[in-house]
Amino acid sequence: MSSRPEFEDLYREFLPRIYGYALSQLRNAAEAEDVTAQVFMRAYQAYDRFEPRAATPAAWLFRIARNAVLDHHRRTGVRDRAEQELGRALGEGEDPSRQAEDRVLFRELLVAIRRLPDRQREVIGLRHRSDLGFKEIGELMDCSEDAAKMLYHRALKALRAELDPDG
Amino acid sequence: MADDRDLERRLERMYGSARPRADFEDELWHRIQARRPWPRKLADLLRPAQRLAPMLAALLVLVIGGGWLAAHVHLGGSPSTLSSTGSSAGGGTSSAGPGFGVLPAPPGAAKSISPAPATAGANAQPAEQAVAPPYSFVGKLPQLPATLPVYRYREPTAAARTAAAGKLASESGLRVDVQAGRPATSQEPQFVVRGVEAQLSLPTLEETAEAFVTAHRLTPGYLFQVTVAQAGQSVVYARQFQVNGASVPVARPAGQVAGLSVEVDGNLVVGAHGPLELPLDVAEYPVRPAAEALGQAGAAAAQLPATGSGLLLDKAQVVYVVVVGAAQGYYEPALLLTGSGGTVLVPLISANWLSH
Repeated sequence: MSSRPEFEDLYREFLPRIYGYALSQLRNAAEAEDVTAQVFMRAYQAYDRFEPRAATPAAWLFRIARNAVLDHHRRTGVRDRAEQELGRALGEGEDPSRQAEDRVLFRELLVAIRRLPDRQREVIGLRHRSDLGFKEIGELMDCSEDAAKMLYHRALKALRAELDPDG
Repeated sequence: MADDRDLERRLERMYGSARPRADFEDELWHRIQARRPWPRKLADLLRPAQRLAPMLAALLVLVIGGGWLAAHVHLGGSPSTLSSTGSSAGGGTSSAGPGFGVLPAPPGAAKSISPAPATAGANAQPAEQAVAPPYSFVGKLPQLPATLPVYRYREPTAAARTAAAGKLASESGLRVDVQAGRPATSQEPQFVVRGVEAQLSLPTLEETAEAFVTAHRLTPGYLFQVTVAQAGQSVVYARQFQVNGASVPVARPAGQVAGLSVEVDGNLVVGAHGPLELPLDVAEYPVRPAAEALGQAGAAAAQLPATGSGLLLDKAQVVYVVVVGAAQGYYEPALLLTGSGGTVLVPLISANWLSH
């Protein structure tokens, strides 16, 4: 049975998850809110074309979210190494009021995720609280299920190193 | 590997705690609504009327039929005079049936009713009973009364949620958000404590949670039973209703108990969330026999992905499940069937009083 849920139900259920994903892929809460708003605006306009038998709501929404994040990166021109450098700067001397804006536990963990290379950061964001399996993550990231798993485990290792450089 | 698991738990909690600012959810929803094309706005305006159409039609038939009877038949106070049946305990006073009228069906519950198995027989027989193959139920059915109470709350507005969050925050001394009810996950409005990391050196999870809840005046006002969730990371003050002298738990569709949940990591309390306590109306509704519900479970189980060995259900328990509507939500009685590899939730309210 794959009936189409009401859009408002999807919206209420997935808003925090999409926001959490965006927050970990972008630089701050304001950017995450902008991108989250774009995701649900686009999803609402495309909802008539959403086919529940072809994709789960989670896979459909996270695909829109991933595209919105990539668009955002393209627009702002903040990519790759430049963004990693900025991530370090944010993590070290950030304005405390901005830290409060992030509204998330374990803020040092969030900062460490933002420092990861793009694909590692993405796989971490897509894996947690998303309802996505590695097969769906692989499809979103244009790689196989096994490659997605491997990427994820590399990302965990890199994240541990970020959190505990001496460990 | 242990390090990975610990890191993954922290990631789960971090992503689980991420929330935009309090008003963002409602503001964005209004923006989305404002962008609806006019045909959809019109359709949304007409939707409540579409939902009510069967009830309005039935009411029209009653009115016309009643009028015809009054005009053509002398009623003379016979027992056939139209109802004041269906005592409405504190609810509405619809003369067409129980207090709240037709109820929304729980999400994910079976929609079609298959015939009860021939062997099911009377209630509460400690018998081995086969449901529609290849799924089976082996166990004892609970004995059910003819009616059970349904509880109803009004969904709080955005302003009421903000006020409730402020009140909880000032009472607890914590940062608190209040979320609207969520139909898809069968969750009533919830309060969520943010950004807490309270260090408490007590020997057990339950004692740690209790100390936190007491210190922050979060002890639920409803009947509850304290239980440690399977993952061993949270202590749940599982909500219950007292029905005919028995305690009936509130459950989510997948079978987990529902109530105030305190997340504990060692001696550290890292979060808490629970149902917002709202005033409840109550009304009695007719329920169907457990054997009929069991028959429906066969239909529900057949919709699940087949597993190699099939779904064996061996425990049946009456629970309350939250059904969230647009302006109000309900706690409705249901039969929770559990067993190896699966859970099936079957509404107990008579099918005549459930919308599909």
